[in-house]
Amino acid sequence: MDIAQKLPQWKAGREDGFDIEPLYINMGPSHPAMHGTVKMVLKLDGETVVGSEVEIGYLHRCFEKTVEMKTWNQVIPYTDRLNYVSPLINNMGYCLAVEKLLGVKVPERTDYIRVIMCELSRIGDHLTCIGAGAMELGALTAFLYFLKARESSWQLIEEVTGARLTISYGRVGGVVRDLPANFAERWAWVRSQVEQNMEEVSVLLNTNRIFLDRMKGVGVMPLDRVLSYGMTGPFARSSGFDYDVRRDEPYFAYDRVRFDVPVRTDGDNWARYQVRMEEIRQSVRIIDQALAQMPEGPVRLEDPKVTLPRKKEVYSNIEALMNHFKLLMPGHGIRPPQGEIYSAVEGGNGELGFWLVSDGGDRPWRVRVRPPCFPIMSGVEELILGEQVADIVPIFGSVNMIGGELDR
Amino acid sequence: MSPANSSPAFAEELRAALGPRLLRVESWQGREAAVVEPEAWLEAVRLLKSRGYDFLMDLSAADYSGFPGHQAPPLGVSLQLFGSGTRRRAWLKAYLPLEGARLATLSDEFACANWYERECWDMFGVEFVGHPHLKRLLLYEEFQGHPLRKDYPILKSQPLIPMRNAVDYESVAAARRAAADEDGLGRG
Amino acid sequence: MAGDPLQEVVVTTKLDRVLGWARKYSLFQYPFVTACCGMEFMATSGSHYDTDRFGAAFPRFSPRQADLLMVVGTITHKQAPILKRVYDQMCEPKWVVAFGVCATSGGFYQNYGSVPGIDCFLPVDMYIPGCPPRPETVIDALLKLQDRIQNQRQALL
Repeated sequence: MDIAQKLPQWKAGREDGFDIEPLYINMGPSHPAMHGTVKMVLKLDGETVVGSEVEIGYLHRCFEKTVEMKTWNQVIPYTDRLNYVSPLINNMGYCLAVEKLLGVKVPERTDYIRVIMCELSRIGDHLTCIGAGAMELGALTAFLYFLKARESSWQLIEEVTGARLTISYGRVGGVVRDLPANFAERWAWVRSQVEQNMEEVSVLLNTNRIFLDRMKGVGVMPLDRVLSYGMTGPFARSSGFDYDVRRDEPYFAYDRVRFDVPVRTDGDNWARYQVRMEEIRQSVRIIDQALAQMPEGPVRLEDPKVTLPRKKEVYSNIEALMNHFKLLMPGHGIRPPQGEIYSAVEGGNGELGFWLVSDGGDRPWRVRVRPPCFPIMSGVEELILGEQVADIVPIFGSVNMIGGELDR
Repeated sequence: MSPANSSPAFAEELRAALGPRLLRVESWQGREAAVVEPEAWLEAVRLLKSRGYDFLMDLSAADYSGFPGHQAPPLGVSLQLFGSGTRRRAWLKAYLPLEGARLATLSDEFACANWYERECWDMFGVEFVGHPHLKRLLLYEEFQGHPLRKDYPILKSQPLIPMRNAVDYESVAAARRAAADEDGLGRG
Repeated sequence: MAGDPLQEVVVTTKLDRVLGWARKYSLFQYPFVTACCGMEFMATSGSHYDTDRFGAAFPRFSPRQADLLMVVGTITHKQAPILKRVYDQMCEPKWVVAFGVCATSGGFYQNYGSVPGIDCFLPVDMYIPGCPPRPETVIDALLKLQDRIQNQRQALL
């Protein structure tokens, strides 16, 4: 798409014959408003963007090549660092894909734990996205409030997983350990923190003239372009594409909890802000229900071909000891049958897909990640076309680009 | 396990339209992947698009060189299509040779194919004929080779600026191969 | 010289010490944030941990106005020339902190794309371990860096 289609009233040059050339500037790679590092080469006529080229790949850490050298379980720490704002969703999404490849099903309690942890991660993701976006518009207070709320959710995540950010909590066939005994009461505290800070931020932003002016009607993406660009997640839902993997192809225990999928049709920054805020509320709702419904039981599969035996048994009987070594020795371990799978979960930014190829060995032949923000980033050139330079900042903020998953 | 909304019907539709150019249908865990001749790639995608699979979910490739029992040419390009209205998925594949891998571009059909194909060119060296702007996406223009191919050594870095105490990948790779022989790691 | 009235209003010290004292509490950092560590970096400078307390939090997004380069996250070969350029643009005296294990040594990204530690092309003053480091570790490193600045020989030009 070029500028003549998007902004028909724009004319090259001036009518009085005084010829002006467009100005080319580099925004990035190291720019405060570029989350991570992205380079945008902008072609400007005055303040208006009349053309651009986005260059990515500054965080290409070779995830897909590296994990071909690792065993199936060793891939899990690498998946944490794909979308590092919501690492638990990547973890669980990968484990789900491997389990599908193996053809096993995890115990019911694990499904609920995974739902709870994924939603906790999603809350953190959206809080960070909105907070950072508001900060770039000068609303530092909103950022500090949301960081405080995120800090509380991180503390809870740390109590469960042992780490704040790079958690590696999922395992093929379950999760590492059960939730702590006081989880429900700790969650009540986190929920009060999140709700309180959301309320305060809503009051600060929702009727703020500056914020509204910079969000409403800016960075509009119509529905047909969203579909053509293959965009999913909150970004697509704010343009009217009512698709959520959690609802449409339920995995884990999402078919047993009730939640709404917020949809807006404006497709501008303001709609994206509203959708993300509403999704936080829905995530809170999901966690409440999941906690209430969660049955007692084991948190991982008791299958000697998939999960490690209990430590107590490893130390006391020979079968368990042999099983332990069989799963950990090079050349042994988990061996899914030869085959391929494409499995998707709803990540922080949309459909997070894993295409796994197994040759029947202990290492993946190929792990392909369908990063949700990749198609959205490919549409940024069109999104900022015809907008003002200063509006690139809120538009880019609402895209929620995550370098780790975009460049892998 | 959630039933992925896979519909084997898409393979039947392809068979009716393409005849023998639909080479075979692979079936994995209840999901089917239709393998078409590379020449019929664009035609197959257009057909599926007209049947409601109007959303490009993912486009990537895998290098099957040395894959046990693999008969077809080694470079498999995989396309995940999705129906934005029907919520159904279709999986299309084409196998290409490593040398001179060429495939018709989908960038006229789907806007996001532009970047997916650039990534695929960057990582695997698949040339998408008719692509408006086929250049590297994740790596840099100075980079030689296509790293996700199996013959590209993982440690072979290509720095743009001088590096102090840079690791000589050849010696490291040799050491790793030796170690792999010792403990039977196999793939080194 | 007990009872000297000057002793009550004048503090005598060395020029090095007073310059170090001024420099360590007015660190202007340039956050070169690329990856996951950025999340912990945000958490550290946010309200809960708050590095402002130590006079070392004020970010400047122009390298000309900064004297502490925080390299936060993995540096890839595509990125290395940019980082080198940012470093070259900073004025002396300047310090470099490798935040997290990727910036320190490449961490578990040993492959064709990642630089095995920024010390391959930059001098580094402080390495912060961790993937990502906890905020407490970061604060500890900042205090250690301040100690070091206090005690180093201060170049005047």
